[in-house]
Amino acid sequence: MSIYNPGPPALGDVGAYQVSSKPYFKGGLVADGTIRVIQFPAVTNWIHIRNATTLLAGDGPRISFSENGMNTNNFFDLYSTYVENDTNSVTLYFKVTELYYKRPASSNVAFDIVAGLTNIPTSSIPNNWSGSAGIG
Amino acid sequence: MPYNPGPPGLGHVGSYEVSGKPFVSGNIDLSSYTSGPIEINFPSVTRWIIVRNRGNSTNNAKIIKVAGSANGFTTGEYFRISDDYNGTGARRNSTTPRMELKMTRIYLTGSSDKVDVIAGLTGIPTTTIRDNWSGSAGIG
Repeated sequence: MSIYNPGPPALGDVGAYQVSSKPYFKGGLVADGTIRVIQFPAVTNWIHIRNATTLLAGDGPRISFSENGMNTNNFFDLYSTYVENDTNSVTLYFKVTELYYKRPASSNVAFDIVAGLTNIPTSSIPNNWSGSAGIG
Repeated sequence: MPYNPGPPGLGHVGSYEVSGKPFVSGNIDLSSYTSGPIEINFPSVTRWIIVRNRGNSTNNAKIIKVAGSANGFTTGEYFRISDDYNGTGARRNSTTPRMELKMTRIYLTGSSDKVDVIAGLTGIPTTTIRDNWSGSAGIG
């Protein structure tokens, strides 16, 4: 007798984004001159990047969602924390499987990541949207 | 016999769509805990969590770390929150956004003398998350 097995949720499963997320923390990351990548174990529901540096020279990291995006202006930079209204409190509601980072200037940048994960498998997004407009 | 559906499960969407039952633990003095990180236990699964660091220092010396397991501090699976104020007018980024995470506990360490944990709780029992995701990637 066969047993009905619906399998894991798909990329468009609304409920997977409506429930609160499984936590993913990564601390003590260092953005240097090399493009580096974080691979999430499941599709993200949201991402929050924290830079605790208190000097303007510590602005960053530079973030993109493909390696090519770093070279095609498909990236954004974060600020360090020593300002009153900085961008570090932004929560990015993106469904992605990878995040690329490097330093935006000559100084290395230390930062942490908090992400909320869905239970959607990473195989649901081939190449993390690479090649799309806005990703590079 | 009356129908009793029992408590909601971890994937019950409606439990996350209604507002949370409040949970507040304020003025936590991490500097008085010298034997390791402290554990904040939630009475049910969280819908969201905010952590604030209200410590003051000139050089961000009262920065704190937050993790989902005690092991996460040694495996790099944590994040940091700067202290609040440098004493000359500029505030730092000392409050997390509302982190929509389903968890049963968090761990804190650092030298701040004033930390607040604010959470919205679901009605989902803590038993639905085995060991607060410990052992998962990103938790440690």
